[in-house]
Amino acid sequence: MNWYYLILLLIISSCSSNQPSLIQKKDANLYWNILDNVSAKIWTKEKIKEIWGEPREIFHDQKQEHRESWIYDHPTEDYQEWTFGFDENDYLTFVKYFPASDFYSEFSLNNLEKHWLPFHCEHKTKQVLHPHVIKNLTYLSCDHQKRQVEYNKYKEVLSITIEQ
Amino acid sequence: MKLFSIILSIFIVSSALAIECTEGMYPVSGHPRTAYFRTDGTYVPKTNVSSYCKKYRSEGPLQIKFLRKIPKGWPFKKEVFRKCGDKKQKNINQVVNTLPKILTQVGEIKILCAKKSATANNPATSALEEKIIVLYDSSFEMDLKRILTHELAHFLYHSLSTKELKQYWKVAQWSDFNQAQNFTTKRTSFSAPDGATDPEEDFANNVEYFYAEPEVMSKNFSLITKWLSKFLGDKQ
Repeated sequence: MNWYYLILLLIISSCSSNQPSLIQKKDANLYWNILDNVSAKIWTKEKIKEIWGEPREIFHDQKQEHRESWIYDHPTEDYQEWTFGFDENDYLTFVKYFPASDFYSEFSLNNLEKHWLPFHCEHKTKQVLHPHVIKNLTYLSCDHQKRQVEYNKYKEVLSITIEQ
Repeated sequence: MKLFSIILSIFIVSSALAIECTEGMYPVSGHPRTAYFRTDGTYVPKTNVSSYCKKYRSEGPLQIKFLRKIPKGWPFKKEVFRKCGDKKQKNINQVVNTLPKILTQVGEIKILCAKKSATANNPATSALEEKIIVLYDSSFEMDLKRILTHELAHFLYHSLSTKELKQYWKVAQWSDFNQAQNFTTKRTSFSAPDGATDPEEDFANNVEYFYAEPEVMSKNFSLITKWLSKFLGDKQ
């Protein structure tokens, strides 16, 4: 065999062996479904685990008995994407979603406002005082504060929080 | 094959260092990008992204406006304000000129001097949206460069992209686990004790230490230092 082809073959095989397996795409409809149905009692720990597998971290909320929060990272970007909170019967009671770059446009501020039009959304500002920092948190509040979208000064969505 | 990878890495690193950017831009080193799907379902394969120049998220170079009167709506009513004297103004301007460029892309900042903070042992207070920094008398008896680095790091935190924020949370082990903006971390050690309060204070402390005491940072918080080096390092 020609040496040139042999070297080329080695390079290609090395590249393919280092390629991480691409995690199956979870589509936007599933994400909307969860965000829209937190209070419908259709999402349970079991169902979440079927889709996302084991959480990266589990927190037990000291203030509310029997409550657990499961944290999941984004499969490729590798930082926090979801927090799922469960009640004592393992039903989903709140969700916090941090859209990653693959869904920035899907879960943009504009799209969320349109999607939640029936929920009477309002842009709100809350002053936060720390000992040496004064800052304003800006968020879109819908459905009597049950759905909140936190965004930054560039109108980029940082997190979407839904509670029952 | 290892040799090939090493040569390739050296080539990527050297090409990144060689890149020079014009005013208002900073170099981003070449890096491998993992495969992903766009929202419309298009598959984007993994690739090696070449070095390129990226615009600062800039509101323009820092310009200082010295104010005398108490800012409207200032929450700490008992603080006594005064105009910064000539000597203090000169001192502030000199320090600002030595700060890393990435900290000074904030446009106009209003600086006021005040006698004493309402909070004990506090040399400065920043109002982020109003772009105000209040320097108390004690700050001029301390390391002013360090204090201004810390305050401007708060402004930098608020200009981070959502991706950069999440990268920082991950490397500094912060997680947001409930309805309220309520971060928690398993870390027990911080560059300064009030870093335990929240990721933003932790970030401002770490940026301050990154510049003021790099060896301490590197020794005690190697992963955070590595991330800060990547993020701040070539944006001097």
